[in-house]
Amino acid sequence: MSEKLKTLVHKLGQDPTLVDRFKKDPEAVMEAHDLSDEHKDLIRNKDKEGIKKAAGLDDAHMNFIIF
Amino acid sequence: MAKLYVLGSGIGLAGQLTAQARCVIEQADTVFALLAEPFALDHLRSLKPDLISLSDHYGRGRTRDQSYAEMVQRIVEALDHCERVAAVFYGHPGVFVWPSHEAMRSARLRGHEATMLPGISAEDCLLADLEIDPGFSGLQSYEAFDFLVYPRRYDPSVPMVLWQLAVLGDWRRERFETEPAWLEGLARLLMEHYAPDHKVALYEAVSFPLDSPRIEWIELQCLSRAGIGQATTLFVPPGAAPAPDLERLRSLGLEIDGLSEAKYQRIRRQQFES
Repeated sequence: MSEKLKTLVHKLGQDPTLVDRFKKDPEAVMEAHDLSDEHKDLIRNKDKEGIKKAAGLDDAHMNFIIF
Repeated sequence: MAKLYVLGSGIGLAGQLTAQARCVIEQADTVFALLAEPFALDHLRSLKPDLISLSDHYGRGRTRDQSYAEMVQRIVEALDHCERVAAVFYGHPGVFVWPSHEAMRSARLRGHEATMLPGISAEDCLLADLEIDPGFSGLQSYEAFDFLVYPRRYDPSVPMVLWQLAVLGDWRRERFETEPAWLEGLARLLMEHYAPDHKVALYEAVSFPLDSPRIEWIELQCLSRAGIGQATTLFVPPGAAPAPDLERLRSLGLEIDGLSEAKYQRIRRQQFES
């Protein structure tokens, strides 16, 4: 499980200025958070399932949002 | 007597959790959560490590009402042996969430206190992403299947939001996807008041920070071919600008030339008309 990857996603979920920096230069933001090449690829490919798995959050959570 | 707090997580990750909700979660004896995103659940667990997820009550092959009844029972039973219980739901806890309202009603029947605190809803995100101001020309909002089944008296000069396209036609409440025939029926109904080529938006709020909001403009007549997910909402812009009711103006002793609008209203109306 990657705490660094999880930390970056959590920070992106809370800090709009970091999101802006990430959109302009994702490589610099990923480098600043010391992500491995494997985890950088997950983000480059927007592989959400892979990101959740790498962050240790791939339990049997069912994403139902319907009333 | 125990206290139930019903809270919303917002649509995005931790960034949309209110300071009030955070405070309640940290202080509650027991916290339940029904969220759509594992990262959001993980954040809540960082505030309350023994948080209980309610998502395991969902399951294919059972109605949503069965799942929700079990969730309500679990929340309310916790009030019998805890002083403060919190239940956190995706988005706003009172918007398109049945078990939150039912848990509050059931808790009060048992003699407990219950309070709902507001959260950021999908509608809040839509208003921001599409830059819609209900103060300009109003806003009408319906659950899509409800809108299709009941003869609503809606106003085509007012922006409209139709929710939960994914379960349009799911009258047994046990599926999570719609079919093109239902979307076709909805489009036909709307085309009684809007042109077939009227541009409508398929909207999805950002729930994961690597995403952008989905704002996909299509012609109304193409709705049945659209890709619809659980988070997809239909936004229907006004078909025409409203005109003042001259008879009403006369009865009020007003002249149309004497009507004035705020500067921002004039500018926004010109944007709609252009």
